[in-house]
Amino acid sequence: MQSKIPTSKTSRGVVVGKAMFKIGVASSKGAVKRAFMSKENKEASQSETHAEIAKVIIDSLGTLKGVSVKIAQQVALGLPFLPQEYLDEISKSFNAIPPINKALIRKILKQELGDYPQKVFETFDNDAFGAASLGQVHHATYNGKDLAVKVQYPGIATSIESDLSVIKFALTRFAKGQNIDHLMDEVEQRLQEEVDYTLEADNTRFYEKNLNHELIVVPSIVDALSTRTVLTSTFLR
Amino acid sequence: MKVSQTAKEKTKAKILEEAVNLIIEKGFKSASMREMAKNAGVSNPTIYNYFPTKERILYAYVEQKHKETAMILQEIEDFNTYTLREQLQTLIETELELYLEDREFIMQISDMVFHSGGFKVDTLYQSNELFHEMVRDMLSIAIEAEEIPAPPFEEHLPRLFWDYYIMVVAYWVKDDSEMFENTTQFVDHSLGVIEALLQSSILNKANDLGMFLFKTHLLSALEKFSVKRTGLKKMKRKFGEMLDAK
Repeated sequence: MQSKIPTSKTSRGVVVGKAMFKIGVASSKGAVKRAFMSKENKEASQSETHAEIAKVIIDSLGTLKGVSVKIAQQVALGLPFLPQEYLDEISKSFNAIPPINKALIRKILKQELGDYPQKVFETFDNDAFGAASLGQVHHATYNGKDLAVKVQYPGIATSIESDLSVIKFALTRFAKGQNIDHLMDEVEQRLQEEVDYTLEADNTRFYEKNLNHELIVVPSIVDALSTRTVLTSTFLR
Repeated sequence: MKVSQTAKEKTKAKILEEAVNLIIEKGFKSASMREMAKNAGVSNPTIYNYFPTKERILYAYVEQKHKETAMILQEIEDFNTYTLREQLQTLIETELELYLEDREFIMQISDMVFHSGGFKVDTLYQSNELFHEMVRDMLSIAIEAEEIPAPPFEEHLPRLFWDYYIMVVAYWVKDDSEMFENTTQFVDHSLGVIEALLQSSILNKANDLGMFLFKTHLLSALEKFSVKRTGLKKMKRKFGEMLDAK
């Protein structure tokens, strides 16, 4: 079965701490080697070390999953001082989100929509057909209409803050004296917006209303079946 | 006049409901059987026919929730496509969901069990037959389907799972996170561990180790400290003779 998202700040701290230790090893390995190398070789080795460190960081973010994947994305967009190797690794991690199992889906939908998925919808496919940011998407039908139901992992919104403080600690090392506070604030704001599906519903409705282009089709939100952590829209093929 | 079985069940359910409400309102100790009877609209002797003691009401409550859970699980059409972990998780989540409307009642009971010691949780075992049965079924089907290897002490696992469930309830009672999402995650994570244990051969290996240590070391230690030393020695000698004779 899939490994699970570490939740408490300490457990996340441990994962990141472990990564920091590995980074230390990778960096010093490079430094020792470089002392005995020509200039070109030095540059190649430096880039190798960067790639290695990047992999370690992303691996640990991958273990954290959920929000951290989002943070990695945001960091990739917002932190220009990271070497290209890091950005490459980060872009690889975009789909690394663990599935929510059938028991959890049932529980979340009952909690959010008031009844079990098989009762709310005419049909509901327990197996997700896609991974969304911070959740997964299921196919369902309701009133004869094809629907896409996006479901968020429980506890994501509350773990943002603790996750970010850990990541901030890790990133300060690479900022080389630059102040990253404003960047982290920005990242946190974007994340808070992203975990609230009602905002996404508002935006979708806005575009549905205001976009008039024959080539662009915007799905309609099903209000009655959407909450802060569940977003139901028509399914477009 | 002969009272039909369904009428009896109805009365029992009514008393149970009123009893839970009264206990939430007044506390377990202060809630009297007399008042429960009055609220449920039955006579004083009648309530004792259904529940000879106040504790019986607790057992009946737990049993009732097991029944409701079993019914809800039966309604899940594709339940047989769930993994063992998903089935166990659904069992726990459904029970918790049913407890939610009586959360304050559960909090009181939990207090009695864990803090004041006024109520022993193992006395609940009698009312748990249905819960055990559900877990036993899930386990045996998973073993048969070769989802997990047959674990040692299989017949005791449902009981252990009940103990785990009590722990979950204790966590839930103290959980103040929004929508009890911490409990949801706690259940998800801990069942991940249980699943990993059941799927691996760790339980079997640990059992092998335990048996080895017991046979080779604990038995001889027992022998040393045993008061009936001579008796044991005699037995051992006899056993040795038997082996020699073969």
